[in-house]
Amino acid sequence: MSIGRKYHHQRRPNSSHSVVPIKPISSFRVGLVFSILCIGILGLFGRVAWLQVFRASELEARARSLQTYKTQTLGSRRSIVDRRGRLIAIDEEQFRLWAHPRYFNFPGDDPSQIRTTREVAQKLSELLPLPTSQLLKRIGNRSSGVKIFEGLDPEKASEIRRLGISGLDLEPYLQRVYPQGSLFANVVGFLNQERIPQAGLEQSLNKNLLIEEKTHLLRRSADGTPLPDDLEPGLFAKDAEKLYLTLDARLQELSLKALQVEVDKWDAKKGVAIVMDVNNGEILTLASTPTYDPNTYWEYSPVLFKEWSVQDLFEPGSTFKPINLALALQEGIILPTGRVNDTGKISVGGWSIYNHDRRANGLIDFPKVLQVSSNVGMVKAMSKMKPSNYWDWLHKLGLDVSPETDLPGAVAGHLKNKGNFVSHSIEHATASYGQGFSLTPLKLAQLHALIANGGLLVRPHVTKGLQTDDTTSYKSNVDLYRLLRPEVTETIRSWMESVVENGSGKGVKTLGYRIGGKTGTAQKAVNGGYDSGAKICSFVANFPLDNPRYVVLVVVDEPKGQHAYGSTVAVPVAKKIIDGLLVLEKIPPSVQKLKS
Amino acid sequence: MKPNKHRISESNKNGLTNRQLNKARVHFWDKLLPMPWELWPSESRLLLALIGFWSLAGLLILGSASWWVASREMNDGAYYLKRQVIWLIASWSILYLSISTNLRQWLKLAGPGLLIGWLLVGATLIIGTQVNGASRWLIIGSLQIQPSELIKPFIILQAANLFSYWRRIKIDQKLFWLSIYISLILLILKQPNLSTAALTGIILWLIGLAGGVRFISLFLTGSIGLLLGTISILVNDYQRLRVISFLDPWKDPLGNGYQLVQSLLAIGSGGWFGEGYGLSTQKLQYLPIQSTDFIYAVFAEEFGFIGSAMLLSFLLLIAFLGLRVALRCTNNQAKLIAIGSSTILVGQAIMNISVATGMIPTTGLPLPMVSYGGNSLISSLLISGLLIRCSLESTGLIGGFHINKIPSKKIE
Repeated sequence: MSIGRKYHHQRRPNSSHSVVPIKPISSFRVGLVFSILCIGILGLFGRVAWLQVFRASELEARARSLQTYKTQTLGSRRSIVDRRGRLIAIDEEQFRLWAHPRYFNFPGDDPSQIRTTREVAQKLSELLPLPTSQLLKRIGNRSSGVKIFEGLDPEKASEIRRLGISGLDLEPYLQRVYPQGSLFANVVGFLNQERIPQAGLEQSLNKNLLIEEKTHLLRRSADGTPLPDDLEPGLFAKDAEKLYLTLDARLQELSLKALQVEVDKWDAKKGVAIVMDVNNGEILTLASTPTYDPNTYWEYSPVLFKEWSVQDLFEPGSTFKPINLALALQEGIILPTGRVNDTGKISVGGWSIYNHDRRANGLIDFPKVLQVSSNVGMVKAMSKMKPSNYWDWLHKLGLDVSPETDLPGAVAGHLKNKGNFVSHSIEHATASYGQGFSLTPLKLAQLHALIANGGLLVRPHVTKGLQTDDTTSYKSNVDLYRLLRPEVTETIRSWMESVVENGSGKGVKTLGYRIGGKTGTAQKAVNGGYDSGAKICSFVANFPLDNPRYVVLVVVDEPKGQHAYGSTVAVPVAKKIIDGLLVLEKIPPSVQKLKS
Repeated sequence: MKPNKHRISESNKNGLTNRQLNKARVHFWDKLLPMPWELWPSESRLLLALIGFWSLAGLLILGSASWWVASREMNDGAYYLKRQVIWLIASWSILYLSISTNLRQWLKLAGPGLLIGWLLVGATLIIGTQVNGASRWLIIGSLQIQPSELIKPFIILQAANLFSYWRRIKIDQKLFWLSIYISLILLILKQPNLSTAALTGIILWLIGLAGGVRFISLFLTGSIGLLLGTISILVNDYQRLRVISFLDPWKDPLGNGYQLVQSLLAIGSGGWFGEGYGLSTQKLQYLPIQSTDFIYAVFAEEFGFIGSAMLLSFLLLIAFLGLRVALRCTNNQAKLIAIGSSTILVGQAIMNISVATGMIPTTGLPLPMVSYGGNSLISSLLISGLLIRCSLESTGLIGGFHINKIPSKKIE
């Protein structure tokens, strides 16, 4: 008995206004209420057990499928840069904006609310270069999957993402962009709209350019933030390697401009300028015209998509004469100080061979043979070489084999088969002045590099390898092998120098520098005969002769006009390229030359 | 002349000597307590400890549930947590106040309190602020008042007044207060706030059940209540959609069923042992209103079935303690306050969890002490205080009623 109750006992008599006897609250009734609560709790217990024990795996699987996100592979490719890291090809991330009007909902709205298309369009029109009315028209009455916009840059995309509107979807995609326009199209090629490589290095080095991407499953929050659990290592590591080319964008641009000027001037079909490092075969310039802009490739004829300088053959003509003389020197059939009697005309196997100007030059030494580009002199000089030996040499130079190069589509030159070559003396004679066989401009540049570097056959190439800014993971291998003695090539170089000093190559003479060169004006072989109107004008130079580093080759196909010669068409282009190269590579003038 | 703590030495039922009592009063905190700590019955002590645990655990759960969203939407992960802490301090002051105040005092306040609350709920319909399609809020300066929450203690108190001597109260009194209650429920329904209206009705019905109202009347009122609820649902589009979606949430998991589906996914993801504290994925903006109505889903995902079972056991313990206190109380009002208080706390929790688990239609009812919201906290802790006060007064050492009409024999 409590104190309270005792106290009540004392007050008991005061019970006057009781009408109905007071019933104390029954414990049964209180217990009943408690029981109801117990039933509720028990019911929940069962429900929770059902959800968390029996249906847990199913519900969890559903939840995970909502929460996990499969990273898309965009098929990203490495950037291509020139030898100094200037961008040539790069992937740009862009976005397509999709609308699903039946899920339109602003942040903070009740989740079941659906915003009108107009409300969303109004918000979007502030960010997109489209008025509300245009957006409304694009969306129309469709409820889902409407493409509103394409080509959004990442900045705009993140602005739209920040609006937080449900029912808008930004789909990322990559676009290959070629910031240099047409400058490298002939080498690099392009990707089509489906990002399938169609030409050039993009095609030949496709495997190396593709960045290996794996699809990952990653859990993320509803706003897209990835969550740090179960992440594989290296998930966010980015492959930063780029494809470095040996090409130099500035030299390439300069060369292309110079070439374009002469091609336009002479109304030529096409032209190419090649600059090669003679010591390692790195190509600094491979400028070709006409060409195309890879960013708008669909506007051009597919004929332009292949690089003709490595795929088309031509008969080199006079630019091959120094190579022939080198072979003769190597074999000892001529002496460096020897002379030939140029009579202006010679008969071989019933065919008459003339000098290009039909003039007789008399008894001349070999530098003079090159300076006047004497065909008769060449035929006489080479005549002592046995035809089979000559053919072997041409074969050894690799005229009829596919060159080892990373340039896509490079083809072998064309040489008559040995039997024909040996049995017809005219073959021997025409080969002496660079006709009767054909090669690519690239091959010709390689052979002149051999003269320039002391007799080594280099591997012409345009790629340096895959590297990040400080590491190299793949490098083009440089293998050289010796074909000629260094003294032989040195003699030839001095003869070629005389061509620039006194002969047809005068146009590239540069004060303070020693440059060797040889012009060529060859008739084009058409259907087995020669087309008198169609010429190929070329010029090849190597310099600086104190320590040869570069070969410059310019070839222009079918320049029109009476005065179209190697010296008039190709030399001016080479002159501009050499000037540019001297500045860009900071080549010092020749001490010897300055003294004299 | 009434008993109070200064007169306890007079009789000593608990077997304590005067010296012991005097010694007990030496502690300075005893001066702050309505009754010396040594004299607190075990239910009171346990209840105080459990309520303390409940509010701290609630704070931790809220912290986990709200951090991500707060850091996204408010640029401060602790945004809701900080405000909840301030409200919690305020609410514990209210709990202290309710423990220190005589039940008689509370019962006197009940009528006016209920009427003021009634007016405020009415005011929300006129000048209320809409949140999620319902006008439940009155904004006074920087304070947001939710009268339908704050009125809850007074609903219990006045119901205790009404039902403790149900058979003796004059018919006009009965009619007046019943009409106040019914109109209150209608007003809350009008907001619309089906869940609070339903909770109010259910609590009144249960207090009536405890208070000894005839079963036939209870049956009739219960049926009328259900009918009322059904009509409300049918009339109100917003509620009808929710009921339909509750029946089959997977039918439209991105539309009307969205909230429930996300909640079920969260609860199911918890499995046996849960993802671990703080590691819910569904709370990362998949689950809507994760800091209030669906906070249980976050808890269930993080603590699993084990955690849910512990929470339900905890609720059972509170309900049981409420029963014990009610049985130990010596007068009808206190009994009803005790059973009403424990029932509203536990019942509200049951309804909240039922919503999250999809047992009843989605309605916005906070989980007491856990959900974010100052009004709910104040009301819950005031009710908890009333329950503890009932337990304290059940000792007969403090408080006291003029219930002199009851023959002592009948009480025994």
